Amino acid sequence: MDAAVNTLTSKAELAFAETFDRVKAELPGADSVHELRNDAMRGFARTGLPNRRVEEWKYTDLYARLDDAFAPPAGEGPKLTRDDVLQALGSELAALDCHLIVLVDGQVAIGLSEMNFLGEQGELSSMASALAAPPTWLEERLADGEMAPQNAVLCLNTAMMSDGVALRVAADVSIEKPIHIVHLHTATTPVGIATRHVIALEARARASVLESHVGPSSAAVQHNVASDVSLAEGAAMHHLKIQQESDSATHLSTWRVALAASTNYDAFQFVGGTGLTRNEIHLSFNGEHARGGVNGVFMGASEQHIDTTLFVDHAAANCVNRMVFKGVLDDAARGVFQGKIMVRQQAQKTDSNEMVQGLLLSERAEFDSKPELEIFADDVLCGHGSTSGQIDEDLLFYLRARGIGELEARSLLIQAFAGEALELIENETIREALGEAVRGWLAHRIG
Amino acid sequence: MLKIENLHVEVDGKEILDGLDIEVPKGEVHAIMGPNGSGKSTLAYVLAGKDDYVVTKGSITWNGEDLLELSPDERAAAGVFLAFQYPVEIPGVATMTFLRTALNAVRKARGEDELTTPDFMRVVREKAEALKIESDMLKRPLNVGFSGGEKKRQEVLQMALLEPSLCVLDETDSGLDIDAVRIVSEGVNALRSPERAMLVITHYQRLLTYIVPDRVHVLSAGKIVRSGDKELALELEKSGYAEYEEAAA
Ligand SMILES: Nc1ncnc2c1ncn2[C@@H]1O[C@H](COP(=O)(O)OP(=O)(O)OP(=O)(O)O)[C@@H](O)[C@H]1O
Ligand SMILES: [Mg+2]
Repeated sequence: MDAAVNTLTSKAELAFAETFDRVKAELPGADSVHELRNDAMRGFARTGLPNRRVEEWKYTDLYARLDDAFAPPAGEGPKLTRDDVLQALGSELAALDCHLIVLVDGQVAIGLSEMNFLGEQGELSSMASALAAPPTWLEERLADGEMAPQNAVLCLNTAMMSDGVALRVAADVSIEKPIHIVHLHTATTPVGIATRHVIALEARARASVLESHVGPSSAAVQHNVASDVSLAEGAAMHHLKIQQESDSATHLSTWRVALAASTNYDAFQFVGGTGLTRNEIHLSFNGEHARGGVNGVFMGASEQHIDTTLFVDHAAANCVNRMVFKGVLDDAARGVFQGKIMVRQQAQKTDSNEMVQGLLLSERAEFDSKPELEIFADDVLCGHGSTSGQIDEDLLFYLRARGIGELEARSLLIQAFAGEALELIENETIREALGEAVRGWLAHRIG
Repeated sequence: MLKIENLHVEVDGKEILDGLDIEVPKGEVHAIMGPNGSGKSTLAYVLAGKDDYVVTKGSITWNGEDLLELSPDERAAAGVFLAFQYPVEIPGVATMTFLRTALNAVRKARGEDELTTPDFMRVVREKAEALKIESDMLKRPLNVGFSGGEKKRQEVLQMALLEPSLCVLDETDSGLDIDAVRIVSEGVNALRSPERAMLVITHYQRLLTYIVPDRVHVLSAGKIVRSGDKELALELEKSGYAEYEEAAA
């Protein structure tokens, strides 16, 4: 490593660097990919882990919170059967009619995954094999390092990515069934896993992608997962994520989404657990008349920390963007929401709005929210709203006066609160599966 | 019988009910009238068990059972129903889901089975029709965007559905148009029975021509200052409350 390594001081930072040096030769990829990895690691060495003095990490001091970094799982993982996978997913998710792609401990389990349904309609492969000889479209996405220099988490992802899904859907192709990417972690000892998905929809292509993280593992898994999504003109995508991991897990996620003209991108993130979560979403409107919606529900308990950070970049005129997030926080859980909308000078007639509401179920729970607008165009419609509060006692009394017990009444009101975001999910079966996840969380928490 | 004795109630440290006594035998309907701010809704809330209302003295029993010992939902299970003066809007809770949850909770408390979906739908439809409630309204979230009068009808629908034994109606007629007062009154009268007691709070004698009370009480400054038969309502309509307000002061 070069001299810049001196900036790495904490145990975790040093462990990241040491691990990289130790395992880099075994990581998949052509020479060009290894170049990217080395560059990314040099990038990380320059910044180190972000601490709270870095504005975007003000509420989530990663430097302080990560006290160690773990190596990827060594050797062969356990052989899982399809039944194991379905069982880990739970009945609602297992029942969804999807093309399943399963990653076990960070590696695509080919035997458990449907990799051939696309036929001639595009390309689908594991990232590990794609990296060995990346096709041009993939190479372009990987080399797009626009945010990489300042983004330590993404740098670490690029440096360490071991596998993932590389998907290109050809022009005018509609994939009817959702593609469900399952991330299962079976580790019993601490591990670090870096996963990279690249999803490119060519002109007018359509697809739905669901990423689920509902592992049986209770070990300290550090998962760094990045999804790079690009929609060419007229393409449309539903992009969903459901995340319910253990209290000892760390989940660092980065979605980068680039929208060309007349695209329609509709995303939803559900977080119902995980010790430490950072869900970063970068949404760029690069062509006119695109529509983007990013909504979500996060539910935290115990000492979970759930950070949702959005950067919306309007670089083209006449685009519409909506964001609705609802957070439910119990015990000493902490929710963080940062939403920055930037409207560049050329992005006239932008219609962009974000709304976030926190519901605190305990005195010790905390919700920090920072909506931000940065507008350089003069003819735009932009707004943001942010509220935080407790369950309305008058509503609770009304329900109880009708014979509904306190716990059930609370649960109804919390479901109603989350429901206002859930109802924005178009796919009915996925909406219901997430509604069930909300009820499951509540049943577990408040009986 | 509903028996309220020497009831003293404070809200935020302020005494609102100041030694109130009232008895409503089963099978009877009693009206409570009185000036604004005299404590009528406070009485209604205390009967239903609202949190911020602190009973500092006195007792409330329903058929011998101490209501003050019970939580709001336990009171509902014991047969208490309050038709709110200002029903709340609950966004995100579908009216039908709410009705069903409430009905099942109350039935369960009474040791009855849950209704099947078709039975439930049929009962709701019947009762809603009788109250001239459009089926569209039942598809919306509870009370959200309902007009004042629609909310009041929704209250009476809930009462008809839950079949409580002690009905407290707090100004259910306020905000209703002339036809609706008649329709809602018919709904209330249909529930009159030898096993049921009703406390009807109103400002208007008109309601009491439809729901004819057995007794009328005047509540002023936290106490019952006069009781009489249904003729008392007519008298109040003419004379107003001035004399009682002075008496109470
Ligand atoms: N939370 C509260 N804090 C302080 N005072 C209160 C509170 N709630 C009610 N009050 C007061 O208690 C008194 C009685 O109120 P209540 O609502 O019972 O009157 P009411 O007889 O129902 O009046 P109306 O005819 O206008 O409905 C009023 O003076 C009111 O201002
Ligand atoms: Mg009142």
